[in-house]
Amino acid sequence: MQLFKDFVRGLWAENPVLVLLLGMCPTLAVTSDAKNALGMGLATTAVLMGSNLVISLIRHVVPKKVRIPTYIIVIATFVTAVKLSMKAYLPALNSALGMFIDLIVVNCIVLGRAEAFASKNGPIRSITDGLGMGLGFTFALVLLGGFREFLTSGSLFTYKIVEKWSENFTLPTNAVGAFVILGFFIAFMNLLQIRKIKKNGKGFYTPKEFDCSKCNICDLSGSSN
Amino acid sequence: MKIKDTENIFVLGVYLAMIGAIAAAILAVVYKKTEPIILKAEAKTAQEKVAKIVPEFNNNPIAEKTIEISAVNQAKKIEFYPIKKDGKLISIVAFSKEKGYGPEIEVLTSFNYPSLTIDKIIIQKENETPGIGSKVVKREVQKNSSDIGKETTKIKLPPNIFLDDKIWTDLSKKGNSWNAKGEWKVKKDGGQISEITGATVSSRAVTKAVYASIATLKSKQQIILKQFNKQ
Repeated sequence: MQLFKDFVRGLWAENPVLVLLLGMCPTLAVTSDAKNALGMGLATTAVLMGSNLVISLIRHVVPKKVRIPTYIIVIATFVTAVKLSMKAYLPALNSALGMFIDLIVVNCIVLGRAEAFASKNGPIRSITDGLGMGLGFTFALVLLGGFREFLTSGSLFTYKIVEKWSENFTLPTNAVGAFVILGFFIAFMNLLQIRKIKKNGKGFYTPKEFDCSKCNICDLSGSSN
Repeated sequence: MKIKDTENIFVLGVYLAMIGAIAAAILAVVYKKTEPIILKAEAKTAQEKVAKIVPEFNNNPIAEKTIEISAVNQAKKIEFYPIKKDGKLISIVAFSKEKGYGPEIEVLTSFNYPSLTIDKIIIQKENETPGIGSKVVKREVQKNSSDIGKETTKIKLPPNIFLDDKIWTDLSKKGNSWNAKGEWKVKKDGGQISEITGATVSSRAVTKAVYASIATLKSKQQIILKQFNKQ
């Protein structure tokens, strides 16, 4: 049961992109279409599971003071080894994934999960957590990538769904468009969370940092109310 | 005292050095094991890529290559592969490299023989940002919704807006000084080739590589052709 909880948590309630807001760099950079998003997501899932396992196994012998550099070395070694073997044995897959593999090293989900979960829990739970988080990441990426791809070219996974879709709307292809769409997703996710909280009878209030007393954008823009 | 709670800087230093050494050792072993296989796989893809941009041939172009110093940049070298059918030269493929957004983009350009105009361009190896720079360098088949689940017929050379631009052939027909002075440029730099929006760096790199190929071929065509016809 605990394992199942570990697995599901990453998929929805603690989705790394939509809730934890981890790994924004690859999220914005590679989700220009659904296929890229899927490739990046699956590659990250594989590395995440591997690195979580290794870090969980060595968690008792890593000095607290230097744990972060140790984790980074483990992750980087893992990624490089995976990349080299893919280049040798699966050149087609390697050329399809291209730069994603290198990008995983700097993906803060991997380091974040190592620090927050794998360094405190056993190997089996850590692998499950890696799988859940990885699939949650993949899910969010594919969702975002699919949206962006469809809006720009009317296609999904490079299959043209709507013939004659104009390709002149280029906003979703660049990072600005990605930010806007991601913003809508996160807003939707927050809406769901707020509803859930209200349903449980607890009150939802805006944190103090975000209320009007701390913000003067209205004054600056000249709209007085 | 357990190693987990130690704050002794020497212990920590030795520990980190050890971790680094172990990681380096693992990578060295993996690298040594995979290196020959990677080289073999790359040579195979190179052969396949060359076959995509030229008519049918029956020699071994890469084995019969000749290397010339670039007419644009003295520090660079361009490789030329002869494409022959039954011993007769039918086409020439040039191989040049230029730094893109990521590492070097390796460009293969095929030339018609004997007119020496650019026929087709394909990228052999690249590491451009997916979705942005990859638009310049990737050749991908356009599929429709009706193709879902179907094994699409294999197209020899999938299209790419930038690489298939007619401007390449047109420009190669025109006269030029064929050195660094007459270099082709993308429109953003005041040139003739329309770049892909958002991927100027990659477009620029490919343009440079293609120009280096054609400039070297044109300015040294006698030497190169003599070499090819001798074999």
